[in-house]
Amino acid sequence: MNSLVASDRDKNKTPVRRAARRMRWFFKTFNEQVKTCETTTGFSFDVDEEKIREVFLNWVQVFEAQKPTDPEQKANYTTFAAATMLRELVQGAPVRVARVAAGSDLEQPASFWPEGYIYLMFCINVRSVVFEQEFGIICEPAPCLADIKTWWSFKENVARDASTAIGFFELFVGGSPNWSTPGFFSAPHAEQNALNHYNKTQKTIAK
Amino acid sequence: MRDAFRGLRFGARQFGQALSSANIPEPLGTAASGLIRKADRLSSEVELMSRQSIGGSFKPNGLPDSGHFDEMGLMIGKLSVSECANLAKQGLVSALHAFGETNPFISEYLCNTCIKQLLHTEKDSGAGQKCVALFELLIEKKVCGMPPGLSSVAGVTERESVSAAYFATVLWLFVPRTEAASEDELLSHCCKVAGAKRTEIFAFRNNKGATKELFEYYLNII
Repeated sequence: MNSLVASDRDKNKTPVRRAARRMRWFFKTFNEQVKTCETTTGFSFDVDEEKIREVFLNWVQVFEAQKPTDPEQKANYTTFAAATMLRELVQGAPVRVARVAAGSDLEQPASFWPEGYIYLMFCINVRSVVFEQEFGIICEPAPCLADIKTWWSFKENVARDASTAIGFFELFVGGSPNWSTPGFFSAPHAEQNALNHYNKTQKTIAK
Repeated sequence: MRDAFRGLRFGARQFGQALSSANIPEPLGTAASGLIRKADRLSSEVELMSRQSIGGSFKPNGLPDSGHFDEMGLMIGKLSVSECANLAKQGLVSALHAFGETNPFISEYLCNTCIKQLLHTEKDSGAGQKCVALFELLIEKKVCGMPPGLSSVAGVTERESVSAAYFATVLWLFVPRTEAASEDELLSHCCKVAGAKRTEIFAFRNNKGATKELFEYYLNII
């Protein structure tokens, strides 16, 4: 599914880091993500275009308001920006299931919560492409992405408090969530996550 | 002159709408609506004839392809005044419709005047400055309102929705065409942001600095 965003990147000269801050790119790429999910899951979805625009406008406001001035924080902020994008999508709920796929397995995240699956995959994909383009890092999703119990918790928690989506996003990309103040970018917290990720990668290489 | 012919048609339509809502008793009602239909058809023919005889590049409604735009938005220095004015008018038609103004009169002559003036004063300015200058011109000249000879009883030009439509159209004209998107899609994005900010747009319409700031913000994110 990542190829979706990646192919879009190749067609355009503008890097995704910049393009993602434009409504037209967000709108087009999100719709493409929905179509891809329809093909891979067999579900059909209704997309509320007005809500997508609203989600984008809210997200860009958050993005600009908390953008750090320190260029060293670029990579850390990318994860936070993608996580807040997930929060806005969960909150704005622009996607509705129109038709459930025949024989769908509720033990699979994409069938258990199809809308949430689209939102999460979109944000993970955007983050992955930015990491690859800007820092040459290939991102691997965390194993909990396929764990249905984590998804039960994810769906239940964001229904009560949408900002927990930020913490869950960190979890799904292999980080440790900041549950106390998820809506505020914290450079020390992000650095700790980056360090943990680095150590984990080193251990894997050593094995 | 073409505005005058179009005004004739506009007047016939307005009159027709007023009659249809007036519940005229039969058989007078049928006779009156037949008369209005004839008047509307006649004025449409007159307008078409005027288009052929007077000329000009104003085309029936429909947004253009992206060929008139580049990474600086509307190629104002490379296109003719009437081409640019036509694009502005087409944008206004769609934007006004999006804001619920279903039967507005847009002066083609005044669209031309605004573009001419914009070219004269802001040809080499940045997109934000061009936007604010054109927005002010559209308001000042009352491009959307009533045809020549008819006074605006409903104060069309002073409506929040009309200011929002001006804002959306101007933003659409100068948004950089850096990522692919259809013109319809771009304009509806511009209408969305103008709709969300319509109260501020209306309140700031005489405040150049605040309006420019709004334009610059949205030029960067559409």
